[in-house]
Amino acid sequence: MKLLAMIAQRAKVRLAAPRDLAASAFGNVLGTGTGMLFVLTLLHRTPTLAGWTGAEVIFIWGFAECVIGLFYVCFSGLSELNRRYLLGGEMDQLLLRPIDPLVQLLADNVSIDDVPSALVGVIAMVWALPGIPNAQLLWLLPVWILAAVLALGGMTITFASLGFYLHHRGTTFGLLLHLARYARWPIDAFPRPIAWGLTILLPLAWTGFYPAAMFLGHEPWSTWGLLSPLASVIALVVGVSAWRAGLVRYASSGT
Amino acid sequence: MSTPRALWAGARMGLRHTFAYRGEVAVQLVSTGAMCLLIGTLWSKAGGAYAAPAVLGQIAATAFATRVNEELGLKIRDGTIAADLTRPMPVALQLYSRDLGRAIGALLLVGLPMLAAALAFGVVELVPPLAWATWLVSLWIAHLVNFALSFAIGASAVWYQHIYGLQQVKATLVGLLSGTMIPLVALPDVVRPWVERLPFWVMAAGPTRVLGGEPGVMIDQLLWCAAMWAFGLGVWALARRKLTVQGG
Repeated sequence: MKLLAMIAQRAKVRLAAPRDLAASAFGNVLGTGTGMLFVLTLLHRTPTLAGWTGAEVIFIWGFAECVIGLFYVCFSGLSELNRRYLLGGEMDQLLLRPIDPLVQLLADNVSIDDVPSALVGVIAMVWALPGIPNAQLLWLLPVWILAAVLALGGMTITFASLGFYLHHRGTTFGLLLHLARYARWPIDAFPRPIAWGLTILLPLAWTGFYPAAMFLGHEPWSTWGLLSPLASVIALVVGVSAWRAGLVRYASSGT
Repeated sequence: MSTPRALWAGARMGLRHTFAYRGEVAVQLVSTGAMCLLIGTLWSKAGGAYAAPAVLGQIAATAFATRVNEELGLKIRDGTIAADLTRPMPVALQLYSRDLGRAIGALLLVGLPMLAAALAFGVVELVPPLAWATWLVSLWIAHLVNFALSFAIGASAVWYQHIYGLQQVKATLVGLLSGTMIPLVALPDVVRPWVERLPFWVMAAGPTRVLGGEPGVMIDQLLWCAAMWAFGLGVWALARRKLTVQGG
């Protein structure tokens, strides 16, 4: 209940500036729409991309875009961790309340502005649907989207937790999301070292391409896609462990 | 202090600021490199003619990008603009000089290394030194255009208080229509003439075309630059009349 009250409070704060909320949501939709135009312009010049049809490319892109939109809705608080909570001293408030500080951080910064972006991703997937071979598996789609959101969330928590050690305004959040753009495309379109790097070293491919590929019947990618829920569990466990280890080191700025 | 000296001092301050935050530069270097690689790889799949303008557009963006809208909006919201208004130099020039220094720093530390990599991998071809010189001038005009537009958006904080949404819209339009993501040559023939009637293309596609041997494009850039500065200063003049700073 307390958590829901916090989220409702956050929504109320955001709705206090309705014109900015509308402009921000419009900006986000426009941003996502720009990505869609990028895909369509690219496919206008090349009908297939590394062996993937236009419909498949759009499906992967829509899946990843939906994941990113939902990620921003739930995990935007991590972008504020270093500047506002660790250096600005607001972490002290979170530690005094009877809810887990990580959950508070996320609930305190729920971004309703990004819901429309996720919807644009859904629209893209629906648009691409007639060209998708494994349509009988689509009932699993919400679960795989959730897994991808949690995988991205887990990775971002890990990176954001570096703030406990580095005491820097830091922009690793932005960097990670910049790199997450690679997950919106078929991974075999990139040079092999990058594909492996995105699978194992910085496993961002699990936040878009792999889970989406499960529905597309391209081997071996579809089989890899089956492992998406496992990848999300691993990412979350690593993320929460990194957060807890960082929190132990936290020293108030005294502000 | 004379205006040129004050401008130079501001630019040096912006440049020093960029050099001071080395961690931020490193992050920018990695993210720009990743974007160049992503955009370059995808456009190379569509044909050789598209990868070079796409990568050059990304490099240009390191130089013309500005956060003056955010900076000015924040100053208006928290009232620190009052201190800027007391200085013997127009606010636009104060902000511009610092932003120019930051842009030069970003070009030196991020843009040029990316350009060197693009040349080394053969994505961009070597051209005579004069073409590079005109490209740099063209980049400077691109920065002037983007600054003026961003300045107008920052000044609108007088009316809207929160301008995050407007900033988002502007960033998206620049990303889409400037040529940083989609090379203008790749746009469908029906769309391209319409895009070329807007000011955004002079920011990224403009310098690329100048480098490609079309110096005449700089005339379009200068015209848009004049129009955008007239717009930016006009919005600021209206904003100043409305501006109220609470004491304390």
